[in-house]
Amino acid sequence: MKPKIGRALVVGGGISGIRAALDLAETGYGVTLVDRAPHIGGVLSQLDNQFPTNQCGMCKMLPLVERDAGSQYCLRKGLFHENIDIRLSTEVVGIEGEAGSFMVRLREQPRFVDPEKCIGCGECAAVCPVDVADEFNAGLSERKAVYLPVPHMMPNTYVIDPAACTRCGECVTACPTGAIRLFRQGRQDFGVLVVDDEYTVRDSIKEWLVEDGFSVETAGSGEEALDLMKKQPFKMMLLDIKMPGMDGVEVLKKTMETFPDMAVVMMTAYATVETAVEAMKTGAMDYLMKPFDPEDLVSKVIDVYEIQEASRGEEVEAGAVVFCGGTEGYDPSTGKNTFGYKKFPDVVTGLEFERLISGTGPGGGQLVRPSNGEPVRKIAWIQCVGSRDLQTDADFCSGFCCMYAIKEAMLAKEKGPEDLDATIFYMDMRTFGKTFQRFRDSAEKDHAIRFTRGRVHTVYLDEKTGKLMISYPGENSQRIEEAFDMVVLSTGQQPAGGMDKLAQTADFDLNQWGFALAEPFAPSKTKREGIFFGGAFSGPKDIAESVISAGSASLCASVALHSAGRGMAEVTGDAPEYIDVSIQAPKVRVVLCECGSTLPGGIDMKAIAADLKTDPVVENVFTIPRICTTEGWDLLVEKAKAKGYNRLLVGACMPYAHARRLKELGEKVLMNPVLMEVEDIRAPAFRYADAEASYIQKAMERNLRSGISRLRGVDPLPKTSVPVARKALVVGGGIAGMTAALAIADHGYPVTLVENDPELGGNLNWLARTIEGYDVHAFMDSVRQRLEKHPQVTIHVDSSVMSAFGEVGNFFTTIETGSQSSVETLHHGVAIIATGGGEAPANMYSHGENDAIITQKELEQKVSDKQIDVTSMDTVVMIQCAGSREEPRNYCSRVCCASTLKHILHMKKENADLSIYVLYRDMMSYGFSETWFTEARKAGAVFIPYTVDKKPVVSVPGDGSNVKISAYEPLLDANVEINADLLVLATGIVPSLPESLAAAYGAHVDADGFFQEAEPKWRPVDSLKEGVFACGIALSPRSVTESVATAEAAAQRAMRILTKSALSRAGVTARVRQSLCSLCERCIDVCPYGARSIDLDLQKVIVNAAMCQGCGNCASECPNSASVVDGFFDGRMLDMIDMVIE
Amino acid sequence: MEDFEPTIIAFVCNWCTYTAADLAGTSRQSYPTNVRLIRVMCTGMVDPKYIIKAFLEGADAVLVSGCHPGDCHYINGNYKARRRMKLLKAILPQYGFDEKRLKLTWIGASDGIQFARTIRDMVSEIKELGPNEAKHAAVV
Amino acid sequence: MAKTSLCDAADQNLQTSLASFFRSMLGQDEISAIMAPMRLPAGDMVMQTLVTNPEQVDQIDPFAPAFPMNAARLVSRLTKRPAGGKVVVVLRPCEIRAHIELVKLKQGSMEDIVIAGIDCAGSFKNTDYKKFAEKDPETSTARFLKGVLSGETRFDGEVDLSAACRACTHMVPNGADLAIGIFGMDIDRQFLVSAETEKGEALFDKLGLKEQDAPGKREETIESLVAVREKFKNEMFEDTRSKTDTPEKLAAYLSGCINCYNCRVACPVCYCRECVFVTDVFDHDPYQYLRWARRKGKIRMPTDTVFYHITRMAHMSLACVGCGQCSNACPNDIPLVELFTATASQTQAAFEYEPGRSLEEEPPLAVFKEDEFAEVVEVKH
Repeated sequence: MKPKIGRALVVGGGISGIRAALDLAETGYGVTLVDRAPHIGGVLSQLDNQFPTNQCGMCKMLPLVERDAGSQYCLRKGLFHENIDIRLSTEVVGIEGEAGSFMVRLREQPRFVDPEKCIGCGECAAVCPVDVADEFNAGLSERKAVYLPVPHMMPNTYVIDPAACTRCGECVTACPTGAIRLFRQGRQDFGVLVVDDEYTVRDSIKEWLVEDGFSVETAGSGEEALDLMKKQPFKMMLLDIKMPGMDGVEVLKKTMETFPDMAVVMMTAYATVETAVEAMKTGAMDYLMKPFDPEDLVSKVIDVYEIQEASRGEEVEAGAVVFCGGTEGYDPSTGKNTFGYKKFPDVVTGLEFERLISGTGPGGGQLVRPSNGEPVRKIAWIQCVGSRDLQTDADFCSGFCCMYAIKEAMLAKEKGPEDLDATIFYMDMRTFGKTFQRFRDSAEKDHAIRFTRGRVHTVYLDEKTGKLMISYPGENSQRIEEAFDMVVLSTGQQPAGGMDKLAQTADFDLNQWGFALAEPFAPSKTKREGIFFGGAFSGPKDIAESVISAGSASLCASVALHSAGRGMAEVTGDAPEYIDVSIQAPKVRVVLCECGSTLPGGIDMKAIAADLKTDPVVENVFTIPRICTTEGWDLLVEKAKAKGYNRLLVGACMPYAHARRLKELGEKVLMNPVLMEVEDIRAPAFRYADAEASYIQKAMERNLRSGISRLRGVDPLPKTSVPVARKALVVGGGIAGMTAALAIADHGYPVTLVENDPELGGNLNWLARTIEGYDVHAFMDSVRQRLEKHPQVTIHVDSSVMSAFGEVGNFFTTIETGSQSSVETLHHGVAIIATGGGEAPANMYSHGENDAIITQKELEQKVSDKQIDVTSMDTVVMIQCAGSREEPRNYCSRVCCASTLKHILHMKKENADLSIYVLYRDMMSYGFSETWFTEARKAGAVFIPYTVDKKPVVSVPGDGSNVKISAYEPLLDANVEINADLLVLATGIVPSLPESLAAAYGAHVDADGFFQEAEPKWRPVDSLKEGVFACGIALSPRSVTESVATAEAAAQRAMRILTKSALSRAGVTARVRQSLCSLCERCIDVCPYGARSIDLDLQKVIVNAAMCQGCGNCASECPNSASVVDGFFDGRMLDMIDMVIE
Repeated sequence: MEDFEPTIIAFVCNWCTYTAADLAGTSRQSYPTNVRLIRVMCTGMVDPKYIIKAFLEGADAVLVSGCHPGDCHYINGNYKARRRMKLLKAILPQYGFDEKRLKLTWIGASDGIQFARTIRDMVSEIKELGPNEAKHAAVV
Repeated sequence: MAKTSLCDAADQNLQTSLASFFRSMLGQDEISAIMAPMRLPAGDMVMQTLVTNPEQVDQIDPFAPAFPMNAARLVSRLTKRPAGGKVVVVLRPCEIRAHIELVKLKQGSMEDIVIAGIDCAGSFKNTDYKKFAEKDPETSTARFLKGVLSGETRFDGEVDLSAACRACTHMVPNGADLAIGIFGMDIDRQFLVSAETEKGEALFDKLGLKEQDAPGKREETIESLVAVREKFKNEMFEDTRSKTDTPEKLAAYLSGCINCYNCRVACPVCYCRECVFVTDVFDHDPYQYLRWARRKGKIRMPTDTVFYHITRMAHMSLACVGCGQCSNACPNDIPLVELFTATASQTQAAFEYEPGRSLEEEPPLAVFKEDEFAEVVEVKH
């Protein structure tokens, strides 16, 4: 019996939804993942290129340990994990109950194409007469009413857009497998009763509806109608209000008494509209106003019919719900300033630009002007369209547009002509993330992308030249006009549609901008217990932050499930005892699916079978009409049950779909699924659609031969595994370390926390409050107290890591404590590095020469200790980026700008007359802190931009008078001199992660000393070496709340490992054939995951089966096949090459 | 030479180019029938032996194709593959296997069109070059 | 600048003076043994011999034109794991270079050896050496050296230096700790000893050698010898390439191959415990042979011959030091070294890699740079 495990519901299948679902699934929970779109991937399915590699890499999110539980193919093709149940075209309509036991009501859109039957041949789309804008291409191209939602999806099931479909039925006829049902056939059973005293009315309605396939009865009066209803069942009634005798309202009342489910639509003239509205309270579903269009009436009936027939509501149980609904792109045509969008075809949004250059885009990836197809030679990006804009109620920064604009500009350079000129018009380039600043610098220096500061006012078309003209303020506020071939609007993020309704349904709050409102210091928590947010649902985020946020949300969900008693129990279903065939010579049985009659004519299955049988390894060949049907599958099972063979090759279509079922088949016939293969024999018919049948047949034969060849070499190996020490070590006791430790301990696993200082808390010890006014100390105390009391937590303060070694599941760390120098060695399965960081030293702008020159941290402390009296001051100057964002500290520290704004607002509150000047390069008030930037300007603070080549100059007069700051003011084109009572330097953050500590765990630090993540977007808290994670400032500069998010995300990554007593070896994993190995260690050098090591005592190269990802670099490096990847053995590969060359 | 239809063996990585090849199929980007796909997990898994074998068996061209630099699912397998290709390009042409017969490309998951185009271009280039002599040589 | 010394040749006999030089090494405490080519007690053959007894160094004859095997394979055996003593190994330049490659491949180490490298005048093929030596075993080495130093490559009108040696331009022992020089020397009177490394210098000092400059004409002699060989090499490459520039011609070139794999056994850098071609990877199903024959009409048996040789090039051409042992080992006299060095010169140039040049240089396939070899990648937009 399988023990009950917790189940979570994840709403939204975009990047954060996928991350949350995978995290929970890998931890061992069941997950229901719903998305209202007919595909997963969200907006990411439309984007091919991500900063900073300008490539994709989404697949790096897939499970690395226990990876056989999920799919191992491009995420664009879809997602599969045995613990995740994906429901597409589905919405959440209700959440009842409480944390641990929610009942969630789902509603699925009507399905017209049976995914079990659809083979993705596209015959339906070929005959569909409807053309509508294709949302996948952001409306830049057209699609049919029956279409593939994304071109990559596997299986490539077509869907029907009910809003666009005219139900003409052409596709139903064209479909070779009978997969499409438009419910037209069912309309015969859908009885409609038309009640009207006017004969012509009821008769013409009947005629219209009968033509559309409905069965219709008419009644001339209320009494007649009620009589008819007693005799035969109706699903729907069209009911006139004004009738002699019993009127419509009366009929309605009587009907509702006996047939409460009847769909009644009132028919009314203008005079009785109020009555009709009244009638809806009595139970009418809707009303139609006379006179009506036949089309309106028929489509109303069809709607009712389809909702009744097709909408399948369902309730699912879930212990926790994670909303990852994402955001919506801003539509500039709805704004006050449209910048010519929708008016001039060469003005496009950022997303449209991505589609234009995509290989799956409307133009196949060519960068040309939409207006005339000419190459783009000069292109501009306009930043902050729909962001940082009070006119569109978007007083927030979308946070990701600056980076995507830079990326798009670089892609334009790559795809366009060599001399392409790319310009970005911006207010502040918000390069606040890790590596962003260097990316920007490289764009400017290495890729010659022009960055021009200034808000663009207008885009208009020069009719003569056909060019787009941009007008913007230059130096001295002079207006400049410049011509471009194409203009890209860097559109921001907006709350997803329907947030209000969803908030009501799920009972969470929205913030002032319409995003989901998170609790203080708890970035993923809503006010309702058991309901969480991930990704940009609670505010604009880029991919990396969304992934972190999703990790944080899944961690919270996991805690909720665990505390509800539903967690962590491992499902230990009896592993089937497969029949051992290891000493038998291979005998392959081949079962071919004839695929109904959908294969092109002229293909001779018998000839294929005869040809295959010439190979002595082939035991026999059978054909089955259609494997995808239940009968077909049963036939296959029957064929598989017979004896006399030990390898099974199935020739069918859609190997992705069938491969999953092989596991099931294996359990039935006790055959190890690795001894079975599905070979795609339909693909040749697709790929070589124009070829002759004989050619296609040959190609099918070749495919089958390579399948045989693969099976011939299969050697089922015993499942090995790596045991896990189910304990965690957290290095660093700041807020990140404490949060991570607590999160793991809350799941019931022992955690040891090591902190250098004699006290926990890190930077929170000196940080008093946040910009929102939240009390940092109170928060820190509550976390610390919980931690100190937690039975699973061991805290070592005044301690440090002396040495460490090991691999995922088994690390050994020696800790040294304080003056007593006590030493202890721990055995743990995962390590989380949270060593934090601190304020960068102020070795510039005369800091230290005068008491009036202080750093931000010093200001924070002095304000908090009331050592500074703002009321007695006249002028305060703040210099941003003191030492930051230029080499050698060429990164943004993220927190300083918000901190500056916090201090401005505080000081202005104390002394409204105080003059505050902020000398800045780019104000990095990303996300909602933009609002504080607006507030600070409203409060009268003066912001003066400077550039690195024209930095402010600080002089300290020897006479004790005020500090003098001289700065260049670009609007005046002159230097200004400011005498300040106080000069505050924002020096930024430096990490305190010793390189040796990272190295001891097999991890690395980056150029700036922060933890080097495995992948900046898809694996932002992991190291490349499995089992080692980082969070907080060790990872990159972050605010308190952001640090909490990373800590929770890191804890969640660790939980995937800790919840297992052993990590088992995946099917495609490398191993060493020791008797052949010469110990040259080249395989160790080329392994990207550090999964190989040499055991000097045993004189053996060892592969950690849990860490190995099966990439095979070791195998191709090994000259004599001593290193092999199961599933890709050289002998088998050579054989396959042979097979396909014929 | 009119009837010569070259055989191209394409070693495609599971993540990027295989997806692109699939995509070319589903989006009905017809490409020549000359290509025989062999899916590997990573281009870094393509052992030089496979390529030598393919040529000796008579393949008229070999394509190795995987993720773009920086996009390798396995971090850097494609960079290692590039070195192996460099090596083979220093060996094979000496024995009359023209360098044009051996190609390495980066084709991302969305580049179905590019995949189809690459194959088409290769076919026409190899048609011009003529068949691989080893096709009929009695040796492997 | 390396320390050099001139050692006098007693009785105008290079061999006896070399013997006493090496005997003095064995007298040093830290040196446990010497491995050097020595005349075998019976017959004319010269073989690497491991000597611990100073009295038995007499038969040392490192300059003999006999090269029965590349000693890097032996040094690898001695150094793969700790041997418990330091050994002086007397090696030809191609043996040193092969050993450096093996160290990179973790097949040996530099830890417990002192490499005494010799100026290499070359050698005959094994069969030719026998013919040459049996005429007058006692004087054969001296005869040979004098001939080479006066520019001869053909001896007694019947035997030539091996092709590998005639094409070899690595005649001085780079990478040795101590180098023993004969080029530019009057070998009846003296030979040159130079300390090339710290290790070599320590021994040099211990041996109490006095510092003397090398004669000026040494460089000149080497240069002119190298120039001749360079020319031969280029002609050899050209000739070989013209004989193998199509698959058919290559097959013909290798037609004598019987898949005995002796070439790879003799190869110093083919370090695999067992060649992949003798593993189960090539254990074909009988059905497979018939399929091949059917496809092409006929098929040469044994199969996988050309496949083997090209694969071997992919595996070891980057590390090929051109020692010629493959040719020496071939029972059917296939001119393998010509073929392999011609290809190796291409692959090594492709990566600007020279095997044996430096321990610090990583084998090219073990490393990569993100930004390199753009010409290998087909780019289309």
